[in-house]
Amino acid sequence: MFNTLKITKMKKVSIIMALGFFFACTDHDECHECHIAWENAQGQEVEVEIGEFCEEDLADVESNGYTLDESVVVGNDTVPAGSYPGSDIHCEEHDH
Amino acid sequence: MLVSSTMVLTQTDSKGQFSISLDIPKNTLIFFSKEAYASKTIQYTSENEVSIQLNKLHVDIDEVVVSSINQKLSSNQTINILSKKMSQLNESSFDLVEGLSRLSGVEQSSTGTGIKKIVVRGLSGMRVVTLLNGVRLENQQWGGDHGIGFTDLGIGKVELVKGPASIIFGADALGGALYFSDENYISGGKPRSKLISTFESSNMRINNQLGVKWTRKAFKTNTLIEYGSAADYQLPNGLYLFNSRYSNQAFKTSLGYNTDNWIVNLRYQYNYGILGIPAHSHDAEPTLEQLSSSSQNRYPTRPTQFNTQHSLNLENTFFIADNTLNINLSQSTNRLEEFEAWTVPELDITLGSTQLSGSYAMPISNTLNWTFGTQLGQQENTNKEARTQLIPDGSITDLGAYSLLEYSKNSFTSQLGLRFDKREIELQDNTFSKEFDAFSATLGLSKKGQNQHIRVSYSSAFRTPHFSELLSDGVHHGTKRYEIGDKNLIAEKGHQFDIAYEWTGEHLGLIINPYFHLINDFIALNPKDSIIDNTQVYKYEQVDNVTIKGIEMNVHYHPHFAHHLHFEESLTIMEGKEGNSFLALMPAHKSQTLVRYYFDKTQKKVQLHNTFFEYVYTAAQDKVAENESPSKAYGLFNLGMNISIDKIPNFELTIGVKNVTNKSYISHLSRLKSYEIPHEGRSYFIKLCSTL
Repeated sequence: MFNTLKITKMKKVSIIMALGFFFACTDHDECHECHIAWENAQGQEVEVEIGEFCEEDLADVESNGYTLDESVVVGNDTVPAGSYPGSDIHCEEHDH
Repeated sequence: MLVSSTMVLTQTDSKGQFSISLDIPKNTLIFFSKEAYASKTIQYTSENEVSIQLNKLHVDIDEVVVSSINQKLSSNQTINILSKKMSQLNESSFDLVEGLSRLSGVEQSSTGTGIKKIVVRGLSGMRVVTLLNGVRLENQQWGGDHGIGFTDLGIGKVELVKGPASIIFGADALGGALYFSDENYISGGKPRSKLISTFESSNMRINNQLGVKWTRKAFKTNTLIEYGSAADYQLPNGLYLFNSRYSNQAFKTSLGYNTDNWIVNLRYQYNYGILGIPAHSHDAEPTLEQLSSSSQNRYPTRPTQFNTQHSLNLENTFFIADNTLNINLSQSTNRLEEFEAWTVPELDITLGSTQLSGSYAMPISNTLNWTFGTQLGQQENTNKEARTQLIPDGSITDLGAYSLLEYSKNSFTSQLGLRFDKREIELQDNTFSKEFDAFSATLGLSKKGQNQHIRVSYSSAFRTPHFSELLSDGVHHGTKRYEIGDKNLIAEKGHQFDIAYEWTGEHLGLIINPYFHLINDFIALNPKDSIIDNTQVYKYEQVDNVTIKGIEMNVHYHPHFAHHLHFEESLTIMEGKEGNSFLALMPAHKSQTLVRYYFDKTQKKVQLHNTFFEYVYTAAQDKVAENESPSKAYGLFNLGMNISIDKIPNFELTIGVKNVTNKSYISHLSRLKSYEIPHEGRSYFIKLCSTL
């Protein structure tokens, strides 16, 4: 009686624990919104959204950068057209 | 009952009888302990039967244990070694570093909840050497944002040497050494498994550890796995600190074998951590609202560290007549990747380390023992393709030799140690090469009385500059600093004087431990008034005449009229100065009060074993360096209780609450202090432990 109770309870506990191992496994998508981070004359960062990039395109833009075909006006700043290196491209989340 | 050299743990039956069918090496220390009784140690010679009687103990302020560092009883140590079981440290905190910070003189430097470093008497990083089963862990500890890199999986005990410890551990142990020892093997019988599951509410952290122990004749093995995951932690204002999430995986296995004159252990350990770096912003002065979120997530985002560690270790101990020979060989690799982008790392460094050490201990007479040894080490630092290369490819070669002479008669013990070390740092492209050599020394005296014990020691140590301090020139993304090294830096040299006085009565015990530490040629990372790559510049510079002094006190009171009540108080007071200025990042004064009540055993199905109440008060820190901001005082309440269930003998439950009052506080050593980001708010915790 005692052993049966003990084993049954331990089994339950073990199952809960085993499930716990996988509790935190969540998926995440492979696409991310990216922007050019451009520094204005006052040293402030100005962001130019360049859209969503996925998988190989994401790897390409982060490695090789992005070419802005036309100047973009953001508030009082004008971000000039030209090629921006990968280090100026940011695809991580900032606003929450 | 623990057979110390073979690390085999067994227990008596309900009548207090035990038997063990192992080959036990001669002179092995056998350690007997039971809760609420004074532990006892005997030295095994060749008896077939032994009879031990343990005396009732009320106060256990400094329980006598066998040190894993040198296999000596703590009561005979001349140097100040603090020893704690992991089960004592992680009772109300399931984080290795947080648990260690409960020790007096120990603090934690944190970046959120996932990245934490140990600070011993104000020193951390490369100045504190971490050893696991005698093997020095090399896991990129130079970075302010690089955590300890492993968890408490399978760790049975930690020993802490506060202050210079080069004489035993070699270069770098200027601030101290943490010596972790694995859990013991079982003595025989059926395999035993253990499952530990923990949950914390503030970051919805779950952590599961599963271990199996098995012994058959002279073969012993322990194997454990772990998986843990934490989401962004909840601030006292109800928001969540974005990207404070982290996860960890670990696996470790050890295989032991022994005869009556040889013990061998082969150990492997793997740790993998995915650690979010919170407070990331491109704004110059981001607000707390910008850095926090109204929702809680646990999936990896950016910026993130990926930390992978493999360690393999072969330990051999030979007993030759009355002498002991130890030979250890280890190999480890640590890969640290820091990603700000999704697909391209900012930093990708691999550190490989090979170590060989040997020591020989021999009695010269009944009162005099001599131990001598040597250590060889080789570290290789290699960069993989990444956006930046903060430190270059290179190698560090170490060679050290030491001699320790110990005299012990009646209640008096003294120890004299000398050591010589040579270190060569060389870049792979041959553009830089530098040699360092140094002598270290230690002198310790210990005298025991009926109720008193006093230890007086002097110890010296040195630390050579690391690659990062000599050759950095780039943005360290994890710390948001542009770091510049100096090739002309020389080794730091530390000298510490330490006095520990202990008094133990039937109901009251206390330890008073003042110390003074002088460090010459201290290497500091100082902020500069310039910006490179949109990042503030920090430069490594050498300063002279750094002093750290302090006093640590512990009191354990157990009133005669209330046998179930225990009261423990620890106090840490310290101050660091650089000439006439204060030293940066010195921990504030701290007091910890723990009140614990043990309940009588009843026949009820659910047995409340004990309940505890803890109050940790951290004083304001206004003794700050130039350009360093002061910190406010704060007090934290924690509550908890341990429960066992009679029908399930091997099942234990711990529940409790940390930061009961949801206090908003910022530690002086928090790397998020400059953003005014507080630590976790109120957090409920639960721990289940079952043994089969």
